[in-house]
Amino acid sequence: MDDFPKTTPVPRGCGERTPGGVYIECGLSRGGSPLEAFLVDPPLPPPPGMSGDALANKAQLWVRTSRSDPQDPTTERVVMHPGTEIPIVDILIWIGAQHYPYVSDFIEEVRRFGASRKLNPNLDLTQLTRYSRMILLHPHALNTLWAEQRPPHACLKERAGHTQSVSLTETGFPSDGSDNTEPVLPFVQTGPCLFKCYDLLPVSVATLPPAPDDESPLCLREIGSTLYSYQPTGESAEGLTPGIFAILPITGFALIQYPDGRVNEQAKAKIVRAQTDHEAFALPSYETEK
Amino acid sequence: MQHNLPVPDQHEDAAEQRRDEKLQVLLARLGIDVFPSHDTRTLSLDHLIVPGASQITPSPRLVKSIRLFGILQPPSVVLHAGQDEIDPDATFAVIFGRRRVLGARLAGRVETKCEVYESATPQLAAILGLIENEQRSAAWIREVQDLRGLIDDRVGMTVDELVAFGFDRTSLTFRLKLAQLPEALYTAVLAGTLSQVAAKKMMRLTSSQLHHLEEMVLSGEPMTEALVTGMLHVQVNAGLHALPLDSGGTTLEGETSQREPWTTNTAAEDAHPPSTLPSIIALLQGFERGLLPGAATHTVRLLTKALLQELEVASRSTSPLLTTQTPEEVCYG
Repeated sequence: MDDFPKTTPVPRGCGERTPGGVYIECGLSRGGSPLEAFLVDPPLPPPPGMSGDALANKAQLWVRTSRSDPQDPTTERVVMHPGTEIPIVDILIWIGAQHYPYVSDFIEEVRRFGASRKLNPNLDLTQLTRYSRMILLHPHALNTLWAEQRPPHACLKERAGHTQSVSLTETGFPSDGSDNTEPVLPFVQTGPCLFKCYDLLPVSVATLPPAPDDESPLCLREIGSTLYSYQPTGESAEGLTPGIFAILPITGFALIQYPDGRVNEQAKAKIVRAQTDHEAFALPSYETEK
Repeated sequence: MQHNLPVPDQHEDAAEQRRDEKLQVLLARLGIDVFPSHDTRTLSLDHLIVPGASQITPSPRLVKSIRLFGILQPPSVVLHAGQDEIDPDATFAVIFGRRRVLGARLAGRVETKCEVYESATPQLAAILGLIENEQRSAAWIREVQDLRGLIDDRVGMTVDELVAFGFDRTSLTFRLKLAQLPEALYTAVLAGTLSQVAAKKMMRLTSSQLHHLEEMVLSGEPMTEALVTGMLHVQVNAGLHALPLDSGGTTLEGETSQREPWTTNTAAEDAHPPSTLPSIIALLQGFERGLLPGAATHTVRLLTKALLQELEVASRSTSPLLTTQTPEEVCYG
């Protein structure tokens, strides 16, 4: 069972993978869905009691629930694996600002190399299956100042009300030179956009700053092995708060080898036990040097 | 015709004597007067005691390999209980190779060859482990040699078939590339002077760089990691050739006919510029490799790297990126 998506073993914003570590992955593959399909836009506020203090370096298992009536908590039920009475368990992971100061840093790294997060081997890995998801939070994902700021340059999820797609003249008519005289409704922002976080990066954090006279500057930022571009607007990032910004599928576990080829046997035993218990639902794993 | 007998190398004899003396010192530190003798015997797995068995789990790949091929490297054991080694009721403690023994049991094996030592100390177990690990770390060269043998004997096996036998795909691909090197470079790899890290660096060289490296080795240059690393940072001529993207394939006047290290196109290829995403990515990768590290190329290197990453992400998209692409050509083109 070796043919499943894996991440690219490059140095990341949080450094190289640790020998003896166990990592949960969302790997890359041709024919998979684009990353935007798994980004949460607008970001969701963290669950009650789940802040950085609770989650930093302490990923938590989270039983998945669902409500038939979103407004009625009494309709909440645990979601089971199809045809079983086994609950689906997700994992909440905090992406700290120490290694990824901006949520765009992590998003762009995942886009290029897949997601790889180190887990505590004492965590009950047997509860995670192919149906489990990685729920990712970042301290600066949710923009609370959106109503006072310009819309983002682009919303990659093309959410209605996040960015206008037609430029308007002052009279509200399209400025594309067409003969259309029907008035177009003025654009109204409807809420915060995850991709506005890119525009709020300051020029000072660019690895390659723009030309001095550039009216619409394009900066390059390097984090780990990732290089990505952004267009700073100079607006305030003070309103950025913690939020859930991505819910990724889990493609497997990576066990990083010690120099002598051994891996963390405690974690491996749990994974092997899970593979025996869950069979078709089980997550695959592989051992690697890095 | 008279044949001279080979004359013993006096330097080799002295070196070997010095090694023996060092070994004696090491054994003394281990509390051993002489290295304990050992015999190779076939023992029942039921008579092997594996200390710490509850803490060890053999990998499924190891179990599969043992099921197919048996244990290729006998574990080291020492008498645990019984009158002597030939006592039919004797039991033996595994001092090295515990995972192999447990793997053999899971694979359904009933017996295995073992190296039976007459005595053992924890220090001896440690030194045996170090020796075995050192031999194992050099095993990649042996695997390259074996793969070359399969290639020379025209044994047709695909990578998938070898993976099905229990080989790791990533390391197998790397070893296959080494096995297919030109003769001079292949021989240098077998000599064992190149670390695995340096061998992997060599795989990043372009075909023209490998050819240049081969010529250097043939002319007597020893194959070292420094030589390989230097090739990776080879200088380019001042004044770049025009990128082979226009149909004319023009070059600057006065340029030599020698190709830049980062261009891999033949004259015929220059007439047909790369028009697919993979070929453009390959061209940019070659260009990136050929850039000298330094302040003068800092911006170019950053921009090239950023563009490469964007193109690699885009190449996974289902939407065509180029006007020459059809939807069927994306993802797998």
